[in-house]
Amino acid sequence: MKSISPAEWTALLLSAKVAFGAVAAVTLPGVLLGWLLARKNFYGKVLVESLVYAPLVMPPVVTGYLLLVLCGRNGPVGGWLGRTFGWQLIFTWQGAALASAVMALPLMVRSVRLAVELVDRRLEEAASVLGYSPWRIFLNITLPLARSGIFAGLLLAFARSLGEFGATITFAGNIQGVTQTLPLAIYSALQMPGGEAAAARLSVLSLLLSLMALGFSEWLARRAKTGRSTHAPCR
Amino acid sequence: MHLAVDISLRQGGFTLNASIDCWSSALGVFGPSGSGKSTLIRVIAGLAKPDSGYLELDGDVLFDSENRIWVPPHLRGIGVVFQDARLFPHWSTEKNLRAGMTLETTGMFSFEHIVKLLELQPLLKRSVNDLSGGEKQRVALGRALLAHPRLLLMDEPVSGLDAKLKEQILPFLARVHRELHLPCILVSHDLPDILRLTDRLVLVRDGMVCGQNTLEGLVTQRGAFDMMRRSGLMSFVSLEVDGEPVRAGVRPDEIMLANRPVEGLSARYRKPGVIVRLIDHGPTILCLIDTDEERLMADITPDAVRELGLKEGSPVWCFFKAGAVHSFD
Repeated sequence: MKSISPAEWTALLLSAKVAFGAVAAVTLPGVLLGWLLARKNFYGKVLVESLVYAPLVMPPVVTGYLLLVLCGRNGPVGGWLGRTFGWQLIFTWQGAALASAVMALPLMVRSVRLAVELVDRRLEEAASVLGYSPWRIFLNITLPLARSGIFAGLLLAFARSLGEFGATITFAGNIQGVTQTLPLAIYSALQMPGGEAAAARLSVLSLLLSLMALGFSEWLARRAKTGRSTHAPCR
Repeated sequence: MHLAVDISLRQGGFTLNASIDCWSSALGVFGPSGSGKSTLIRVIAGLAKPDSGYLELDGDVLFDSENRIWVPPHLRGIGVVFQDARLFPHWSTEKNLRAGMTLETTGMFSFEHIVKLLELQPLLKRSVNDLSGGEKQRVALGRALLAHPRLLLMDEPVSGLDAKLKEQILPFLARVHRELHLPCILVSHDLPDILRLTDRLVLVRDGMVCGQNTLEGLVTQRGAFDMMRRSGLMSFVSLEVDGEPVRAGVRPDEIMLANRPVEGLSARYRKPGVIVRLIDHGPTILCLIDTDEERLMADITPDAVRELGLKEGSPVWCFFKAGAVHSFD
């Protein structure tokens, strides 16, 4: 088996970059939306829920297409970004990260929501009569107690981003060195005559990356568990 | 403390209509389980919002449905000790204690003062998840105090504990009120627990306040008296047991009366006093007796009143059987 080519390395690093970018993009909205859906009742909750969870049930290509319509050069969001900041999402690694983030958001939100629902509301009441504002309760009580669910959600988001194919290829394209992540590179390799060996190598790389993410999350979970009694998160 | 409550709250099939006006620094809220005591406390703390009414504490309007005033719980300065201690499991005992402390509210009592008062020193470094029920409740009490509330609400703080653990907490509650001069409201379905802190009572039944007065005022009301007698109405008496001073509780039917210091009785303890009031409650008459140190309540039959020639102002001797004396402290 031939050693890994520079182009394959590029695909690997790009995959990691896109996945981390997607996780970074998904963290804040994921936590806030998860908390919102777990704790608040408001007008239009069903609509927000449906929009967040839609990428989970829609074909990824459709999600990619909708992103294209919204964030493409002539789309309402994409056009505005281009005019105001000169930014372009389409055919860039940031675009690939955005596509991955949208696909990963429902998993993140679901995980956070379940974790927040498990946080004893009586503890939040106890904090409020100690003088904690809703925002301080969220930061000091709810989030720390839901942290294992938040970590799990981040990991799911990372894993989902590594495997993202349909939305990425539709929205960001399949440009080597720019948006060609591992799954896209594997697909391209298989399209070429004699590309099976390259596909196999890329698959092994993909597997290693996933295992590393899994190991990291295990380590985090174990640290969270053993640190529960002695380690106190900062206030 | 001045507390004025006049609220109405519907929760599922349950309705609470409470009207209280209280100037006392310690108040006991007494009633059977499910009567609405806890809901009342939640309303005062701001954890439940009434449908309509008015709530005022020391001149601050905390809720007024007509003028759309609602002060959220974190701005009320009212501390709560819950039945389940509700310590934060992700923090150490010390961090839990300091949870409500802010720079602005130092003053009345320091962290060290509370640790000493509640004997918390040995617990500070332990995880709250390893504390016993009684220890948890003491930490919860300390945590509430260190937030420097202007009023402390205690919702059944000892109901989940067995008799021995209860004795670890109750003296502290009385001490907190006595030494820190902090207005307190104690909620309990156990009348003796309340009477050890205060004799100023609010009776709650079926979502209604059905009486508010001092214990002495309430025993004259037939309904309130019956409700309290079923739940362990007792008076407190200072006795000397084996040369040691003891404060003890005795129920009205555990006190025998005589018009002279009878010798050769099996009842071990006796005390002279003067009858201050006779209250006719149907089959029995409730006798209020002043001794040198306290006021006692004794049940007596109308026949005995006649035979002994008892009337208000008569001197009497009170006898207590050793087994009837429920000692405290």
